[in-house]
Amino acid sequence: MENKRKLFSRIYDENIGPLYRFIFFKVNSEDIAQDLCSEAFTKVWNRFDAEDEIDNPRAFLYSVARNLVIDHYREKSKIQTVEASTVPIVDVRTNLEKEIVNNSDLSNIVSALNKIKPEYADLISYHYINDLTISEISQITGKSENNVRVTLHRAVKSLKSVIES
Amino acid sequence: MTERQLIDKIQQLKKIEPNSDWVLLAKNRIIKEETGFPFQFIFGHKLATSALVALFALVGVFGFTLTSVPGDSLFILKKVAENGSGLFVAKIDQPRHNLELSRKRLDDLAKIAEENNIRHLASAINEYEESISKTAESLISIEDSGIMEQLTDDIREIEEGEAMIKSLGIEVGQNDELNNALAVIIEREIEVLRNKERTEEEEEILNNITFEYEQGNYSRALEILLLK
Repeated sequence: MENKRKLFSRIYDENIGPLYRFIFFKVNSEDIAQDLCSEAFTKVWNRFDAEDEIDNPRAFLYSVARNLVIDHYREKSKIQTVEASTVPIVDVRTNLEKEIVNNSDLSNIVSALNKIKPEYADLISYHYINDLTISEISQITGKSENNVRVTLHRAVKSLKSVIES
Repeated sequence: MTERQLIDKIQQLKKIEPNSDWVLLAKNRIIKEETGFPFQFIFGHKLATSALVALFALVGVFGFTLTSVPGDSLFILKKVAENGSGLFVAKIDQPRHNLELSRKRLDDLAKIAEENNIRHLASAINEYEESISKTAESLISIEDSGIMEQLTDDIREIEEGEAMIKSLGIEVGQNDELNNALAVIIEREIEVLRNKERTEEEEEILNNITFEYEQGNYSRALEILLLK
């Protein structure tokens, strides 16, 4: 049990920031991002409790988070939109809001991420914002690694195109 | 903008971080690592407590334990020692003992806050709130106003300490349990005053106490009550 706790603690510490970012960009709410993040980690902890090990905890965590976000929108029937000018303060220490407002490039990126296909936005978020490897993304999405690479390349092109339009 | 430049810009969004206090609280809530099995086991068995008190005495010579704060691995030994010593405190002295422990937890919290030790903050808040809850319980059981009088300064000291902690931007929760305990004591005394024949001076005291009570200034009401 103690080993499971230590392992979970390590996974939590390593992934809480990236997972929070991943969810935050999808729900555009600090409170909802925190709730879904907690729920995702609780499911991972319960899985640890029930089984001896999880093959790839990080991939499992993102799969759970992705499903939770889908369920969230399904339940609330919300449309996923983020206006760059209304991105809330997440942590005052990062002063990100100020930076986004003052940095038109970042502002455009946040806005454009919500205009491209959700699948593209997910891949960009997984790989470039949350540092997931192609192999891990392949496990989460159930697509081949080659397919992930190609789609990721298209996603960046699509984002660039939206920003430049 | 080239694709490479775009990717560099995207990666700047990594600066978004969740609130660090929430990160700790959520983790503790999920795995209850701070107050899990060992803690309950130790405090659930007096025999085990006594044995650990003895163990603490041996370890304590190194002096590390006494300076530990909530969140430190040695803090559990410090707590065992404190709770162990509580077993030998007479019932009549329990409120004072509990107030003293609450004051210590408040000191721990203040130290952690001043050092901006975020990692231990959640544990320190939990420990403080737990001790206040215990203190409130023991205060309600006091029937002798003489004992209560001796504790007024300690209660005020804790309230001032808590106000100081809050001024540092730390939310230690509404001190409802302590306030409720004080409210119960004051209600009881107001009732006694109302049901007896009063002199003019006592009538004024009753009015003042009732006023402070209604304003929620329970420690002030208590002070007037005990100085009457």
